[in-house]
Amino acid sequence: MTIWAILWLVILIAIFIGTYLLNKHTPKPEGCEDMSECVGCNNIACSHHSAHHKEEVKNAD
Amino acid sequence: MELVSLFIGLTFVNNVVLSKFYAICPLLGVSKKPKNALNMGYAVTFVIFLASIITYLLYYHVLTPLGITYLDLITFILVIASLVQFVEMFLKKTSPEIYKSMGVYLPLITTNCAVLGVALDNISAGYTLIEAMVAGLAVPIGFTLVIYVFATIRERLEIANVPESFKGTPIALITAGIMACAIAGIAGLV
Amino acid sequence: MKKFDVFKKGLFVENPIFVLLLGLCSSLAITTSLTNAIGMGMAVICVLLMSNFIISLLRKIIPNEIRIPVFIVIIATLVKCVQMLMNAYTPALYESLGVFIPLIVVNCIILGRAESFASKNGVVDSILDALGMGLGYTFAVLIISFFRELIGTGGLSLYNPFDASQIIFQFSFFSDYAISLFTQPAGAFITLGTILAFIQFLKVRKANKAKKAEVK
Repeated sequence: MTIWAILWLVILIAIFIGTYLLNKHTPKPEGCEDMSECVGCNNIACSHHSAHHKEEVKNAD
Repeated sequence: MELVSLFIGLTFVNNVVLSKFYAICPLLGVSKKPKNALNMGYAVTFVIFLASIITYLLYYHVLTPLGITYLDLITFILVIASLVQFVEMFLKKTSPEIYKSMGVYLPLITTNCAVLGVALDNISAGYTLIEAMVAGLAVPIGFTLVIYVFATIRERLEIANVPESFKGTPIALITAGIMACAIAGIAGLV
Repeated sequence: MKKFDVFKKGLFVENPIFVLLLGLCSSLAITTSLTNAIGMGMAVICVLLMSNFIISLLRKIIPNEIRIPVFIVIIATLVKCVQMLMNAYTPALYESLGVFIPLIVVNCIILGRAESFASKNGVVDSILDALGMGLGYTFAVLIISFFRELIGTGGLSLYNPFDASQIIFQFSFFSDYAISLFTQPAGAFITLGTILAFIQFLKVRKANKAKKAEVK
């Protein structure tokens, strides 16, 4: 029984990481670069949070 | 017509935001402009509807036959997160206009209590597939209603004469409390 | 005293509920009684401690590209373990907290601390930060539930979470005058709004004093 659990977990994690990477490497359409209007909440998992933009700028340098 | 009363019940009486306290973070964070609130509502409706169907099917057709229902939480959160990533990628590729208006809120929905809450509630309330679909529609519509009304009220609160220490979040919360009173008042409807 | 600052900031200056406004979903829903509040606080502290610990241990190994998915998987596993443990050892608490135990997974505090602190700092700092934030959360939730239970039911009560029949204390001051609105959802919003207003009042007063001192 546990083999199914491990298999299922591996499948799920693979799907999640797969879609996450696919999404990350899909470029945003033009006009959407500066989404800084979303300063509403402090949810740091949101990819539009300003903390991620600062990091990208650092990586670019 | 049990489905209709389920729909009305989840949208108004047991409104997820005002009586079950899901989705409070977006309520306070996104609802400054009514147009933004509506866009958030569209995004949330789409995601929750799909997520409730998919998680329901996965729970009863994959987890239960294999006897691994203890993986329900991990399954649901991974499915919801993948779904959000997929929807965002799909929107980026097919429709930049829609992405521009509501795609901003999609990553926020992953950590939105409402999505995971609806998925878990569908299971624990023992709904059938049709009832889960109705719940998946009613909950986000209720959320959209609340967040839209809230946004319009907040717009006017910005220029109202609010005491200094209540400006911003405190008065917003008290407004939400009054709205919750209103919702509780129609509890006898269903 | 830098280590102590890491711990202390989670308590007041960056209190997750009152200042950062994270994790409000659970804090409003379970503050109907002191027992629930303490139980949830303990659960959040457990999950925060373990997740910060594990993530700061693994921070050099996790590829930077996929760190958010990995964090979510780690946190979901931990929360499920805590949920099952609570189901076994504290069944009454598990019943009353209900769906909000699994919702710790999407509690912005845990993911937020993992992303902004544990993935960039050492193990000891991360543990101190987790303790500080967890205690800050518990403290905030205790305050909210103190007022809600006191005004809503006219008394306070605390049960032993491991054995629901064992009452630690149970006071009943003025149950005839209780405003039961406060145990209902509307009261939660109003209580939190008032507490935040009070904190903002203190901040505004401090800022005014600083401005006056500057002018002089």
